[in-house]
Amino acid sequence: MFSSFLLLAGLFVVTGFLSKMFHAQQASLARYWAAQGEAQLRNGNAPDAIEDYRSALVYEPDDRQNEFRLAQALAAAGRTQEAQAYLVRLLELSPGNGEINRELGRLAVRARSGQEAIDYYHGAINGAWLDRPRQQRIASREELSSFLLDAGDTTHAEDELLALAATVPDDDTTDVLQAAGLFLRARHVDRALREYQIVLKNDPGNPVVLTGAGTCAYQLGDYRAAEDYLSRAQREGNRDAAVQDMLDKIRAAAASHEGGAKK
Amino acid sequence: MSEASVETPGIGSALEAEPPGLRGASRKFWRAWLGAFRTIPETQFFLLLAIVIGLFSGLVVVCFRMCIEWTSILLLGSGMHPSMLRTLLVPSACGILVAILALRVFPLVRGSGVNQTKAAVYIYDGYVPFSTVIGKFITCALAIGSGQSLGPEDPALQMGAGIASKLGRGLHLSQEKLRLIAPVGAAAGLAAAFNAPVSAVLFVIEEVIGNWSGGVLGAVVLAAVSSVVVMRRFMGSAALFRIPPFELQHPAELLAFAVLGIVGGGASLILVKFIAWARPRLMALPTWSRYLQPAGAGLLIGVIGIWLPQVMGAGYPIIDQALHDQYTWKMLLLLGAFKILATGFSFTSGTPGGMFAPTLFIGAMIGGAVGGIEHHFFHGLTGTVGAFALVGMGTLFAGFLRIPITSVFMVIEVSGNYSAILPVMISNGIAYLISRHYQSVPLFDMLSRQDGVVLPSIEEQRERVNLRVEDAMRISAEDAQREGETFEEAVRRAVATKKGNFLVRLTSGEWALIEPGTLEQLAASPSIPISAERVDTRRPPALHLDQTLEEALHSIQDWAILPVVNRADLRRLEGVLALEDVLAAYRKSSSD
Repeated sequence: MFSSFLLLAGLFVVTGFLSKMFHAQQASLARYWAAQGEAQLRNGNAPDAIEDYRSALVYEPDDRQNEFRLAQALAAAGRTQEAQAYLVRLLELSPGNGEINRELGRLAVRARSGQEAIDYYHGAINGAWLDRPRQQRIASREELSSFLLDAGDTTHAEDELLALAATVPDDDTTDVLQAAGLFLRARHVDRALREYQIVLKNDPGNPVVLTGAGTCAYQLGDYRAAEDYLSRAQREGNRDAAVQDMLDKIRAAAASHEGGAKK
Repeated sequence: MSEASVETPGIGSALEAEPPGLRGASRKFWRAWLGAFRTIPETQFFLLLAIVIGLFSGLVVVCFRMCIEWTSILLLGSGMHPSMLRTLLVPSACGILVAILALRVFPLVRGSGVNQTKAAVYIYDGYVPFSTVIGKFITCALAIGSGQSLGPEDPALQMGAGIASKLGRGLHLSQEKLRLIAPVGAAAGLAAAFNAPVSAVLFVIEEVIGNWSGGVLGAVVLAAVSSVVVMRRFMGSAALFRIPPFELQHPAELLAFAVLGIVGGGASLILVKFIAWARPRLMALPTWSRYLQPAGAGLLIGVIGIWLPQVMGAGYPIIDQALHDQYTWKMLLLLGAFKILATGFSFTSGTPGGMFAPTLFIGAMIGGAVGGIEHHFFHGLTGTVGAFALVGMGTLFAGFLRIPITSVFMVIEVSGNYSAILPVMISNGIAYLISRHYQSVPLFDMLSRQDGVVLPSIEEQRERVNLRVEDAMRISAEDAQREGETFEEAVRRAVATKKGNFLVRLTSGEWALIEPGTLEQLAASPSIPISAERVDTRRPPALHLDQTLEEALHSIQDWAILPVVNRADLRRLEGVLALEDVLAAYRKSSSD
């Protein structure tokens, strides 16, 4: 009896030691395969990334980040159905997760499921983000707007663009420019010009913004402003033939207008 | 060892061996402890021992699971897709090693372990050699770790039985307790392997012991619980599978699960029939070929593994993936079909290892595939493919292993979700009925008969129709007092008709027996007044219509006839029963 208890105690200690080794090894293998998957995904090798993430999940089955990356790899490999099933399950576990909602939105876009895409993107816009939440929400709305414009749903697209313009801060050049580009695609040239002008307040010498503003002014028939923006864009280094072409047209129109006036 | 004895000499003598090297206070403490132990009756001691058995089994199973994992990583690598060379070479090379160990060093380790545990209970008085525990540990870790399509649960069950047997023998338990100790250990081993104590207890009751004996149930439960506590301490408390949320939205969806029951029943039949066909043929081959059979199975599995590495090994991660909708229905179908083949190869080759994990694997894949196909045609189904995979696990369990109650509780326990109960019950029930209809002998009974051992079939016991008193009794007005007849009239009739034994009703309502001698005395002296007080009677035990003949036999003893009375009205005689009637009923039943 005594020897049995002694053996039990010994076995307990040995098992404890072995299980620590075991769990450490499992965690290390999970990290290793996750890193492999990350590298494969970066290199655009989605099928191998899938296997690597699956291997990682064998050792750490509850690692949500790896599960999410696996879903992304599945989506990248074109295995939309599997990716969607995976993401839906993840969303059930954390319903307010913006990242998962956006991935599901992207899959819905791929599947041309309009309403589903809108719902998921709204989930992403209103959802929780761990990293740079404001930027992620703006980016999600930009993606949604772009999808709606592609789908020809200008009514919904305009709603999204107006909300986007309201949320993008003036000093966020990239996003304001993105918004301006989307307004242009939606043929809201005046709103696009307003966005460009916002950027020009902080960055008056930006040739891209000047070109955009010039193009908008040109389309609105404000040739004087257009000439001003476009010539400043040229001075700042934009040698684009389209810019020169617009300038030539403006100047020719101005010359014929002056000639007509003299007569 | 007597239950009534205050001291238990068997246990006491085992405790006599004092620990060497203990000094002073610790020695005193130990002696006091031993003294306290000596006074424990064996029944209570058996319960304490069950906890110790559970602790031992839990620890050994934890080591076993880690060992399988390490072997797999070492031999096949840590990735999901081993290289082609490894896939082909490792299972076959390890197959040879396993065969040598199983045939030369540990001859009792072949097979799953369930029948070996049953044999220990019914043939070897609870004896399971400890070498079997060691052999099972090594050979199964090697076989499963190298990719053979087998699982660790049944071996864990046998290891638990072996540990329990060793402890019981060491403590000089009585023969009766030794016989019961193997199932206690079996439950502990299985509970730790499955992380499911309820399923383990039910399996042992349903397949090994066959009845809810109070003498062993408490010990089985304690052993299972303590082993699971140990397992969770080291491996975490997470269930074996992470089950996605599932809720049945509409009762009509049960039809979809009924279809799964039909398909699952068919799949389990294919596997059973394959084993029934291939195993005796492989066993009939020359002895030397047994050294090569596991290697051959390993090679075939390796060939499958080049394209479908998921079928190799126990396959828990793959089940988990199927439960989370990670495969298309075509892939699930492919995995289920090839797993049936791979498991058939591994098991029939005599490679030691269990059938539980492959059964769950096949069930999950087939279930998921059925769910996927149904979703393809009926978009309104709310049950996910994962839900079908979950129900499929139980379905194959019910159809293949023929343990209907365990199969239902197993799914509920591993899912932690009671809402799956209806689909599981329907699907399992259908699969079980299909399997019973087309395969008369259950798997474990078939395996034991192929091995030349006749173990009691728990299913046959369960299904056996018990003859009841109503099947054997006579409704004879000649043998007893009639309704409306007075005591005196009845006795006079008995004396006149010279009946041998006669039942009369006393004023209290009880039935009493007048024996032939008394009737003869009354016949010889007609002037004697006849009344209940004056006539010699004996009071036999009364029987009821629904009692089994086995119970009746216990009551009948040396009584010539017994009254069969109504349970609601003890004065009302339904019939009479004699020993000859019981025998006649048994004869008739046998000839039918």
